[in-house]
Amino acid sequence: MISYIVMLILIMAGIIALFLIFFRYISSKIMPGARHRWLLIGYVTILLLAFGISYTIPGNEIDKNDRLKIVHDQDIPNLYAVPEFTGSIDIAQDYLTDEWTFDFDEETLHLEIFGEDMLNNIAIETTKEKQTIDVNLYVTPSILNNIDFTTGSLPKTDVTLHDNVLTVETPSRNHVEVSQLQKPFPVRQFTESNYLNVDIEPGFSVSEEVDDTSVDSPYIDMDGGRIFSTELLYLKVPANVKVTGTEDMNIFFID
Amino acid sequence: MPSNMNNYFALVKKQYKFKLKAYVSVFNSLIILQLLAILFSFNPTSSRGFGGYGVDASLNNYSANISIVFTFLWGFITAFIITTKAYREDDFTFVSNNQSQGMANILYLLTISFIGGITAILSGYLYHVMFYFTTNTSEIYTQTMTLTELFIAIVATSLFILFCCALGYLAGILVQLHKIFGIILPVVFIGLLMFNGISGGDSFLAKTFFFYFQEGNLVIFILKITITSSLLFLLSISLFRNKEARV
Amino acid sequence: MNVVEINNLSKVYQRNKALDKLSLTIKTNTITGVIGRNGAGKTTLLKLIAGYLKESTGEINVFSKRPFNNLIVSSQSVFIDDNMYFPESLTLEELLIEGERFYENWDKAFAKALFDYFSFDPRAIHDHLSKGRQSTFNMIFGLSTRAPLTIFDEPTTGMDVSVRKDFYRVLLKDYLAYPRTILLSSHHLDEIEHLLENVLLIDQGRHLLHLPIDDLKEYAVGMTGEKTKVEELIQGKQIIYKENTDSNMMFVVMKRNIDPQVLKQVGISVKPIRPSDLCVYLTKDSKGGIDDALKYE
Repeated sequence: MISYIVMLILIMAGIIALFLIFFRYISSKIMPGARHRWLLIGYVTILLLAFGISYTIPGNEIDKNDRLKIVHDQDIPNLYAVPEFTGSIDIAQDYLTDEWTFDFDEETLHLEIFGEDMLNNIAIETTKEKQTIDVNLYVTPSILNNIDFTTGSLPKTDVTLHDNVLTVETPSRNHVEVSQLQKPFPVRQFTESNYLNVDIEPGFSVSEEVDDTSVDSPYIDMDGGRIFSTELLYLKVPANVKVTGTEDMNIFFID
Repeated sequence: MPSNMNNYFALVKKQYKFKLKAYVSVFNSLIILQLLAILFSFNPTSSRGFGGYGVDASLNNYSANISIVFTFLWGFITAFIITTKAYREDDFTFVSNNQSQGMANILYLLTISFIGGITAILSGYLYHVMFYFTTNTSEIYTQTMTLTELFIAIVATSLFILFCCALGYLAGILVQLHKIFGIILPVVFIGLLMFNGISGGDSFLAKTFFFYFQEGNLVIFILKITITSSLLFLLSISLFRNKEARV
Repeated sequence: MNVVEINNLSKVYQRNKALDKLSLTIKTNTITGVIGRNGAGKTTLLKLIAGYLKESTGEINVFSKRPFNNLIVSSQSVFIDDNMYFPESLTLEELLIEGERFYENWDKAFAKALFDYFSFDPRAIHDHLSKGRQSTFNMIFGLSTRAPLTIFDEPTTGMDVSVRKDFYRVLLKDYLAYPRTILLSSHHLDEIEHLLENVLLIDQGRHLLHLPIDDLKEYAVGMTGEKTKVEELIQGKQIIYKENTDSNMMFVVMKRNIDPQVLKQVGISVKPIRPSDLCVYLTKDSKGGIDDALKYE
């Protein structure tokens, strides 16, 4: 890895050397004497101006950015595990993103889920007395480098009830792109641990989908500064209602 | 050593001032290089993407680090170039000897290291402004440096440049002593690179790299760089002790 | 007092000997011409004196110091030739300002006057000047330093005739007004003869002659006469040069130590030898001249 970089640097050094020699040659022809000094003074002036302007550019303060409200040490519940481990959804209340309520007087409820995104983590609470169905959607945010990509950008999920069929249409994904201007590496060397391994790698890292549900804690572990989103469709149905779904659904009942 | 130290330092000062004037065009190349680097910086240094329910996320990291790396190389090459005949003999047209010339060169390289360090770090702000006005990414998140961090950045960058200058100066001196070093140095360097490729992180090159670039303590870092650079400069001056002028 | 004292000085490059056991002294406040053919070692000698080069063996002292890498010698002397390095980024005007900063005796008014007289553009760059103009500027620079030891190595390269004449005039006037030690090398002794006090003739790295110019003028005579008579005359004597000018005529150069009256009687004509010719005769290869090298049938 290092040799790759050094090789790259060598090539650049060669180009720069040629460039410098060429530049020295032409610069004495076009601009003799100490007038060169003004070029440097002008450049430094521009840099200082840019330095001033950069502080007036909006959105560069962490506090003002919605995406950055995530508290570093806040534990985020793993919605794939929460109902199973705790028997309730209470600790995930912060992540309730949408809710629907339907009147319901049938005896069986058939669940149908389709759409671009997968939603097969389903918990059903069958303790209700009232003849309604509550549909709650919980989503925990995707977080990378303490930046929350989900909150505020989550598209609407469509939930409808026709007769005894509850249809959930998952939305197509919103693409959220955040650009981060990093501090120069000589300062990160002294303020961040292990800054080399994280950022000197060039190119893309492969994007991953969450597929691992085997956890032994209701909270998500941070993985390389990144927290994967989890989602949960939480239904509250009357006790007498029988719920059916399709095979790919991962349904968990809370009694 | 000259008998009168005052005269000696007065001369070194004169030579140093002379170099500031005579070599002023090195800053032109610095400016062009940093501006070029800023243009190159419009590609993300790293990009990470992943998806969750409802959201595809990608985080693009940008930085003006290329500007800093270019400035390192500029330091190395500038130091190398000022050992060449065209620059070296200028001094002997006026008043000089090898030691006073070496001292003045070191002072000069120290100065341009700090000018290089300041401009390299400040060019990051120019990059920020240009980035803001030219990119239409939905959201830009800037890691703003505090004043302390700005100070650390400038000091550390300048010292890195000084280190590059010390290496470039020694390389230049060796090549000036004997042309054969013009072949030996690249061969040794590429050899080390290849060895590094075979043995991975344990090689001399990798260890040296981490010795400086993974030092997280600023004070120890400053010590490491200043001591190494001083030794390199000292070696250069003593190697050039008997170099004849105008051969 | 002597500015330069050289004793058994040799300088060897790679394989060839540029200077071979040279010994000489140069007195304070004199103008000395260093004369010799190309490759005789003039430049090497002058660069050794300026402290640019390091001696191989022997001893050299300038201002009673070993000149190599010596700051006192460097600040008290200036070395002018047609290969001087000046930074490309400074204008001629700025170069003169730098000269003033480095040389304590620098004469600003003098520099300015000459600079204007030769109509230099203050904003021109040294490297972009023609060879002759560069030499002229170097000369102005060298004289303006008023360095106690001023060394000119072939200073007039590329100058046209009128500029050369001007240069020699200025050199002499300035020397008279501000006496200093001047070393001036050239292979044309003719041109500089009138301003020299001493002549140092070197050949193949060896010191041949070091005489006041007046002594040099009287040093040798040339004799032309019948071959047999001339040969009889020079029997057992050291001659400098001899040449068959005709099938039975001969020309000989030798030290002036024969009574002219004697010569007249045997029909040998005598003429004085000019110093420049003498130098040519002294440094000619013993093999003979170009006529011998190229024999046309």
